[in-house]
Amino acid sequence: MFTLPFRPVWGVKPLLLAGCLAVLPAFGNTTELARSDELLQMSLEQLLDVAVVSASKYSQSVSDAPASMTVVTAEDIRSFGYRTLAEALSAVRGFYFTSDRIYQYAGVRGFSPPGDFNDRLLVMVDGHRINDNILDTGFLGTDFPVDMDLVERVEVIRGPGSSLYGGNALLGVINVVTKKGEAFGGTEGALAVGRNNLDKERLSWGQKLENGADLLLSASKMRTPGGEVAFPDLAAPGNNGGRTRGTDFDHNASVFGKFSLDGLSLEGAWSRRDKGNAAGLTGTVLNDPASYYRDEMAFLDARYRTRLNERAEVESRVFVGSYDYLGNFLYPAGGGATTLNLDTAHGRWWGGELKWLQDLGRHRLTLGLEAQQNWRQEQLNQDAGSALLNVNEAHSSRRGGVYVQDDYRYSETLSFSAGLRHDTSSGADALSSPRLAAVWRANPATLLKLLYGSAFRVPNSYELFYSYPGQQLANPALKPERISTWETTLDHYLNPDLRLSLAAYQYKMYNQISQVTDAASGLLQYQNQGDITGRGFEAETEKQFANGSRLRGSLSWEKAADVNGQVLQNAPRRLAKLNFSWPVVFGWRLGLEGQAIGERLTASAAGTSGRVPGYGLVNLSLLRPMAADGWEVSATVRNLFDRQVSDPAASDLGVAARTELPGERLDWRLKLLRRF
Amino acid sequence: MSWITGKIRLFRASCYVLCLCAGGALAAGTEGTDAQVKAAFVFNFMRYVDWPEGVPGPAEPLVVCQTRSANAALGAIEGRQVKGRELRLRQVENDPAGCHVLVFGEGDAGSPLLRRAQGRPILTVGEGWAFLDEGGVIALAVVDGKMAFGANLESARRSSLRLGSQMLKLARRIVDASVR
Repeated sequence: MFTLPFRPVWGVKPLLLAGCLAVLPAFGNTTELARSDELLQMSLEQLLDVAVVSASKYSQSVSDAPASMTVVTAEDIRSFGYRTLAEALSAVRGFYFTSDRIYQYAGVRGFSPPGDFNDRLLVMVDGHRINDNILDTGFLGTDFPVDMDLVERVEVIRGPGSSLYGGNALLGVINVVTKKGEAFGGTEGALAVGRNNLDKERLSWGQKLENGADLLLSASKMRTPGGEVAFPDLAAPGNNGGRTRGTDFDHNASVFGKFSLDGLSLEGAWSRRDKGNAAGLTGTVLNDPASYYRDEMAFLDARYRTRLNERAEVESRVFVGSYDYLGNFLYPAGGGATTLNLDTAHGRWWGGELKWLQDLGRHRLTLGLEAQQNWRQEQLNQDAGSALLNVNEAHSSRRGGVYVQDDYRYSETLSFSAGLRHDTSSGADALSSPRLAAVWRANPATLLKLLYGSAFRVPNSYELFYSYPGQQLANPALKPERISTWETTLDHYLNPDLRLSLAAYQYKMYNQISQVTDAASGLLQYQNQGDITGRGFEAETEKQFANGSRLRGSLSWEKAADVNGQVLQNAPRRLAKLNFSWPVVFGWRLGLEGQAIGERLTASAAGTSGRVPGYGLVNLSLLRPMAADGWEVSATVRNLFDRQVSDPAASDLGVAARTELPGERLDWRLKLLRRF
Repeated sequence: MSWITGKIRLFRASCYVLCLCAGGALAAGTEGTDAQVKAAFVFNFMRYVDWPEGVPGPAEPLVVCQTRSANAALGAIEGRQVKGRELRLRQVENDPAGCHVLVFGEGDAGSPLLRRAQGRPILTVGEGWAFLDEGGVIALAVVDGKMAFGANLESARRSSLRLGSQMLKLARRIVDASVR
């Protein structure tokens, strides 16, 4: 057991916690809840006298899946008014987010080096990989292609997931499960207005047809010109103290559709998001709305699942995806002149997967193979009107993997899971990712898990090939990055309404890919770095009250450090989350959310402290759920007390003095939803 | 930051409660989850039911089938023996052939599987008294927090099953169309 950084302000005594931990397993044997064995030995008369409690209550928030998992439900999304995946995940223990006002960067368990691309998190929509094939980015902000209103639940699986899903699943897997058309049962429209003249519309139609086919079609559009933002690091004489207006705009449109009939399902999405470069990233002209980032993506996924016999099932899947990026950057060119620079990337890919599920009684076997062809991985950079290409990289690559997993139910209370996936990728050595898990249900109310897993990511196309004269060097010799993680979790129900969960983990990341200044050339380059070690401890409690209130709170202590023991940048040592949902009157629900993050280190620059202080934010929402009249109303205020906070920033040649960026200020939204 | 303080208090309280529970005495009486208790009932019924001569065949196991939504922790009975026969567990979708016991769940109301099982020597077990009216042989229902069972004797006869009198004595509800 490692020592944890306790400070009086957090108030929890480590001894007390340790005591609880030590006593818990003993508790397991003496609970009033009977084991199946005992019940099976009873006579009919005795059985008639056994009090029945619902097992489903125990599985509401904790599954006995051989993984450390949290599920964010559609109810959570409505109760707390989550508008993006990032907002929903912010409430999950161990997660925190930073933003540069373009993308939302997920930090997981103390790991979120400024300047990464969310490429250590695998993001899926209904099992379809969203990460693109240029930067491997898992999009989590308003750039995520699916409207949150269409989300049935978000499955968050912490830790390595490469044994089933292949690359990029280092820190976790986020699987967004969308609603079925049946859940709409007709037409639904939503209209939202918010701060900074935000307006958002959605129109959806979903139905289960008489022949059993299920169909959902939905289109969404959002626009906001953005408000005024102040960037102290850009304050220079004559530029309004670093304040900018009209540059933080966000224009976004998306379309989603899915169809299923018997074992066949088809799903597709398209989205485009233009986000103004308010922060002047890369050194664009401040306070000019000409600079923006465009992310456009689309995918189509078709699968067929069929049962061969009572014990075997086969699923085959083909998919195609595209990603287009445009950085439309206006740079100062001296003497008041400007240059428009166009940074673009185009990714196209297709692939397939075949999965066999075999039920062998106590063993459940999953066998599969997956392959993806990246037929286009193109990165270009040129000044508008110039024929000269500063960057001109066109590549293609392949990746493929075979995997096997055995879920073995040793007894009713003890089960094991072992998985192995073997992957090959263009330009990289073959990699094997093992995973082992043991799950022990000590009694119906106590679940103990021991998990080990290994995962990898191959360097992305940008890290390998992007080279900008005088600034950045390519590095085709980059090696894959790997992680191996141990975790143990304990979930215990004190009664069916009160859960306590504890988790301790340790991970080691090898060959971490990071952008550094190349010693020989003095230019920026992605290079494999030394090992990173992270360890931490999490405690979470969840309670359901008789009046329908729900409370969930978590505390995390974590430490992620490099080979020299130096704590990483943007790695808070502590996180706290609190979510409370309360039915007030007439079915209205109040959602109160609190999130606190400890102090974090930033890059060091002259005149900066090298750290940003910890802070706490409060969000409040009110929901009037769908009533018989077909109307649903909700209002959400984020950063209720309008706190001014800062997060660590990525190092940026264009804004050399920047080490931190201001967080979002108070933001509100009012939403009306109508079902016809 | 008062919410943090409140949260810490709650967390502390949870810890204390946990420790107290762990060390303290426990409530009397037995509790089981609905899925566990249901499985235990199914296991018991098999002791009291006689299948027609030759079913299952000589040296054949007794096959216990369940639907996808059966909600019964039947994993615990696999491999055990009843009347000298080993129990085998199987999940079924559409075809009840080969089953000796077929366990339905709450979500199986109106299932065509029940119609297909009727008249065959299959002990059908479902949830809710309505299951008996649909032609099921045995129904389980939670009454006052405890599980009770009922039987449809007409369905049993049509399936050539004999339900033991020891068992019927304990039934909360008996449906017999021929008496009505």
